Amino acid sequence: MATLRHSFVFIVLLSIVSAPAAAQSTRVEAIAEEQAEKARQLGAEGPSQAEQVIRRVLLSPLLAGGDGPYPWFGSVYSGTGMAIGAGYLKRLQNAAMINVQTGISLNNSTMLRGVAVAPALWRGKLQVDGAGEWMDARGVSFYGLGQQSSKDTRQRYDYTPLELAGNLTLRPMRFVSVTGSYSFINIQTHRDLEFFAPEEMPGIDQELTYHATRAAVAVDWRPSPSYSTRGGYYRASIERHHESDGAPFSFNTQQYEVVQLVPLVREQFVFAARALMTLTTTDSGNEVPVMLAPFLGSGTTLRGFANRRFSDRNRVLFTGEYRWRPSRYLDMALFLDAGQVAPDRRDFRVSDFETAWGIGARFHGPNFNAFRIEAARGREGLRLIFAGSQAF
Amino acid sequence: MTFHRQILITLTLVAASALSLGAQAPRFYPDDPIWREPMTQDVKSAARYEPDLAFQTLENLFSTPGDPVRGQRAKNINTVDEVPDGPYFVNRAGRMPLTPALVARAANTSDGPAPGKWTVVSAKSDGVTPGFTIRDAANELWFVKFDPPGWRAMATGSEIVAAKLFWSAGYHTAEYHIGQLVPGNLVIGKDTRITPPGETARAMHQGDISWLLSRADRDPDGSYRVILSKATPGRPVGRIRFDGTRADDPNDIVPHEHRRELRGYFVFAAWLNHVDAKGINSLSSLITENGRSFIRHYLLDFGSALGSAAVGPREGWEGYEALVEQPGEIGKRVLTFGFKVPVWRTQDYFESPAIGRLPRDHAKWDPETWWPHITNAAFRHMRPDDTFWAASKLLAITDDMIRAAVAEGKFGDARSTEFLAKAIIDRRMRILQTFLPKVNPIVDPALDARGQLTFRNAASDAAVADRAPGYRALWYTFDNTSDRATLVATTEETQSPMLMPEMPTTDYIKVDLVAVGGPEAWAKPVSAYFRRNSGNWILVGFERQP
Repeated sequence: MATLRHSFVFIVLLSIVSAPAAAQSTRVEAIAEEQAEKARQLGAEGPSQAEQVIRRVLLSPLLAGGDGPYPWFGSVYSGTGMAIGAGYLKRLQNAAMINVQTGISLNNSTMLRGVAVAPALWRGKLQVDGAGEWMDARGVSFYGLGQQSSKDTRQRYDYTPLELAGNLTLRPMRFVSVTGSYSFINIQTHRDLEFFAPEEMPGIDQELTYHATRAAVAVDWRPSPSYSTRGGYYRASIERHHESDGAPFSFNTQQYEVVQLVPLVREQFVFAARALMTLTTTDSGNEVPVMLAPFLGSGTTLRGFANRRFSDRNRVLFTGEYRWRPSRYLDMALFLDAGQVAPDRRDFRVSDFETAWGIGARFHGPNFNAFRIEAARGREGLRLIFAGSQAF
Repeated sequence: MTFHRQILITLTLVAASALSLGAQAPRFYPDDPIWREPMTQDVKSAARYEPDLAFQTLENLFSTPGDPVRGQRAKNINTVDEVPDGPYFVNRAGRMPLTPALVARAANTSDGPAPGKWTVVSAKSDGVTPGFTIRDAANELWFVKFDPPGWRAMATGSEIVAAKLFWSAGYHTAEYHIGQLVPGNLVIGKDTRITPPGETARAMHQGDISWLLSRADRDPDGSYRVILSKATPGRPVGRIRFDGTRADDPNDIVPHEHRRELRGYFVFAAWLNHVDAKGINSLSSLITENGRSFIRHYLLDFGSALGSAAVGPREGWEGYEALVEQPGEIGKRVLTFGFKVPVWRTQDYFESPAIGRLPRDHAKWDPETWWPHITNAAFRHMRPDDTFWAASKLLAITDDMIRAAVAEGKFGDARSTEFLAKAIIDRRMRILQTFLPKVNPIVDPALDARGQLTFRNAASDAAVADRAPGYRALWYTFDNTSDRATLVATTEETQSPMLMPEMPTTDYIKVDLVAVGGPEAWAKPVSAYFRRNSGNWILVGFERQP
């Protein structure tokens, strides 16, 4: 009987202990119980670990886009491949800034460049800046002068220029800029093998020192020079390269460029066209050194041909692109490039133009190009282009 | 087996049964349905937490925070499928007698800042449009925002209109007024500091005011049209999050992705093209009343709504695509060389400086394909019964109320004002047409003492669907303790009312109602539960299948 009594007491106690789950007699009480339970285990409201990591990454000067160090991706020199490096940016009052970059490319080319922009003058209409650049570009290609050069006759050389420049830019009205520049340029080149004789490769293996002056006028009504879907860009420039040590490599350059963007269907499609002409003339008995001569063949000129594939005193290039926009961050393009280099501007003939066509994808932001990958085909084969800049 | 052992086993079974019964909560409590969300705990220590916008964007673009199980019914609704008044929402449309005048007034409790000088206590120097925080002569705090140059009334007017209509729908919003800022009326506070872009914080001076105002639309007399929003009561403790619960709020027990008013926020945001419906455009405030603190959540910053994108007119894609388009859609456009053209690129737009840019015709607008810039967990968990709930709120917001809200925008352009009102009315109609017929639209069931069951069909009443040829009712007795229903009879009628068949004596009746011969979704029953109360039948439960 005692066992029964003890068991009965146990069962009753068990019932009482277990009862709270159903103790609420109203909805409010049931919810209140849940809230009381949470009150016993409150935590602090704050960022998750993932958010803390993202915050740290995004707030670092490398990515925040503010002053300080930042990663740099680009190209040391045309044809030296992708490069990485670092930069340092310091913004000052009234649009002044200092920006320094250094980088190294896949083929071991290196560069150091900097620009200092003075505070804007005359309500931002006048800007003065100074720039300096040193680079050591390895394995720059030269295939011989002229359109008939062979891709099998490639000469590689190292190109090491030092340039110190001062620029003055006047923007008298919206869209219009007039620029005057002076540069001191020292150029050294080096090659291990002499594939071409020195007279076939003007300026090679010589140290050249230039006083270069330049004047340019441009009208740019694209919303952003780095990425746009409408507007136009028209530029004309003249440049004088005076070899100061008496070497016979003084020359003048004229360059004309027209870029026109025609949007259709509210910018779903963009027809883009570019014409570029570069003309040089030399002082009597002088030559244009190959390092500074106009060329075709690169990610921006006559895609589908090797870098600097055609080089001569003059060049002309026409490009047409059909661009479509699958995303606000991705443009696709079918393109056709056609161009020619010639020793004399009178030698330009449409029938002699080299052509290349291809397709490309461009990843971009609202006003900048982030990355471009293109496949281009010319008569010498298929080439892939990876670039951080826009084609034009 | 001994007698004692038999007694012991019997007692154990009885106790086990009792435990079993006792552990199971009844389906309906005596106080159901509740119309006020209980907040029984005092919030003692809520710290301010400002979520990172970039993280929220990345998180919602590339992952799916919140409950991984989709398709769950909202968990904060009462037993009659409605959202009780609470920290996010107060039942207004459809529950209180709204009038155009009330909609026009909305959350306002004053006529705006007190007359006198405005003391600038801080300034918004980042971003594209300027902003000030001022104290008026009565020491009240106000936030001041402007229109972008060339778009007088667009951002300020759109914000006012959206705020009034969100308030009418039931959300907590701030007090908003259109005002006129006269630069000479601004006084810089003695401790006011500013951090210009690229510079460190320093004391603010008059040049900063001029610089900030240079980015705002200026009236010919040198003054500036502004929108003034009054600081919400309490202490800011963060922003609305759309998943999980606040760790420091003991009253916050329902994961936010399962809150119906946050799911339904999608519908109202789509209605008003509030593409910037993200957490950062809200405010959570710790409020103390009668010695007890709780957190209330406000919707704020509607400058990117309707035809305005705050810094300019609304871009065509806004409302049609997320900040980053769907990968499949991008792929199709790549492969079709662009000839799969999004509708927003080809449709006709109405554009004016007063209201910005909106599609000219909303007759074919599809609210189901509307996109905010960034979606969120609550939107992802939204079900058709949630969108029906939101649409049923819009039923109660009339054309006159919409016109009253639009008039508060003071756009100063009759043609634009008229167009905007029509656009909002048309978009409302498209929401009704889309979301009301998508589920069984029976609403307002009632059973009177004579056994007459009445109800309405919200879709056909709103003339967005044909009348159903008939209705079928399945009548059950219902055991509230065991949650068991027993079918007694089935009746059919061509319309409301229907007569209750002979039923056994019972305290609860469950009625499943379906429309016969209507759309397929209407064949899914809505379930109404009635409790006997002094000879009458009281509706205590209502469930709608998604």
